[in-house]
Amino acid sequence: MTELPARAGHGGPQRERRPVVLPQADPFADFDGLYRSQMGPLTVFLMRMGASAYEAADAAHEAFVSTLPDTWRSLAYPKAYLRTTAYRCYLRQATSMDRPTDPVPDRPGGTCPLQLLELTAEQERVADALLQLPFAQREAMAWVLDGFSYAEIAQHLGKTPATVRQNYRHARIRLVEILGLKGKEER
Amino acid sequence: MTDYTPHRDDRGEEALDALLARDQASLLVAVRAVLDVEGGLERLGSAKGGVARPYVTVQNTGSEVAGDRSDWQSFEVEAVLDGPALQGALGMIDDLAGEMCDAADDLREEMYAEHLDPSRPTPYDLLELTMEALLEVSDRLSARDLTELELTREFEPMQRVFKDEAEYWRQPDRDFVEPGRADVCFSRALRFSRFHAKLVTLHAQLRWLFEKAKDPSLLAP
Repeated sequence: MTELPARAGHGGPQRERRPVVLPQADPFADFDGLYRSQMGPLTVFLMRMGASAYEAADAAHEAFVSTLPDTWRSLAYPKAYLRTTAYRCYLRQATSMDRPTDPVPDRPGGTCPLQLLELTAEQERVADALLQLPFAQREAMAWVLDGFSYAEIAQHLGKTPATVRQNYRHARIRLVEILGLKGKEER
Repeated sequence: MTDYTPHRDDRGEEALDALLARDQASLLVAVRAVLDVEGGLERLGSAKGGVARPYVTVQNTGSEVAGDRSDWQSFEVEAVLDGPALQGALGMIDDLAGEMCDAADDLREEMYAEHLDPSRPTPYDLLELTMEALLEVSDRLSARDLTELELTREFEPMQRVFKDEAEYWRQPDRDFVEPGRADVCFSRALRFSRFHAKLVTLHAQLRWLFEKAKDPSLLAP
């Protein structure tokens, strides 16, 4: 889940001298770091948007390909770029076929380790509930769950923060209903 | 959740937060555990100029494939007869798909090696053979007066896929491996893998058509 940012000045003046702690290396400073830190969350994000694990992994990799060889170096917002690009890749997969003789879809191919992923009953329950949300609400929920603020989501989706917030609020209300959580306390 | 502060009453907000937090964390753990990020990165290749390997391995269709890799060349599109022989042609496609699997697996293994076996099939070699087999099956089905199936229309997309793919791989020196270009290698591996998925789909379509051909009652609208 998203962690709230540390508040400036929290805790008051320091009473003792602490060793200087150098900031951790930027995980996006190299491509490997970007891949390591983002591949999992990006896959989960796409699953929140409705992709199967298999489709999500394929689209996520395609998004990473789009950043090679050098694009990733110049991305101002690599996390958001990967999510918007991967989602477009997912939409392009067009996996449905109504009839066996329909035109061949551009399916993600080969085997993918994520085919081995088996969702728990609770994970399936949440996934099903998310799929019942209208798109805008599901989208807002997926971005928020991925740790983006309303302002960031609005910036990358071309919406106002108020719209994002409203979609998120409605999504929560719907989820409470769908999941039958009304009147239940936190476990 | 981030900057939305729900009313902490009995509307289920806290339960929802708890459920979503638990779900997000557990799903991420599950995905990471299965995803093999390090392995994926290794196969993706270094952005610093290494040689990429496809992150996906081409799926084996379970067909019986000749064990010796050199045998792939022995696959020839023989005259396809009616009836059971048509089934044999489909079997041939099975075999070719299996060959593609083997070739892709071998390539995956070899991509880290300096020396690549020059006798191995290129993607285009495999495509060419597969396309021949498919066209042969198409011709045979057409010859069986199965106009009700609108074979021309139905095979068009199949043939277009193969034509486009063959055109792509026919380019000189187009192979999975292009040392120093991780992006190129990875893109090609992904493309070939997707093509293989299409092959499997085509195969299913052919089988469906074949079943219809065997049982005219299935032709009824």
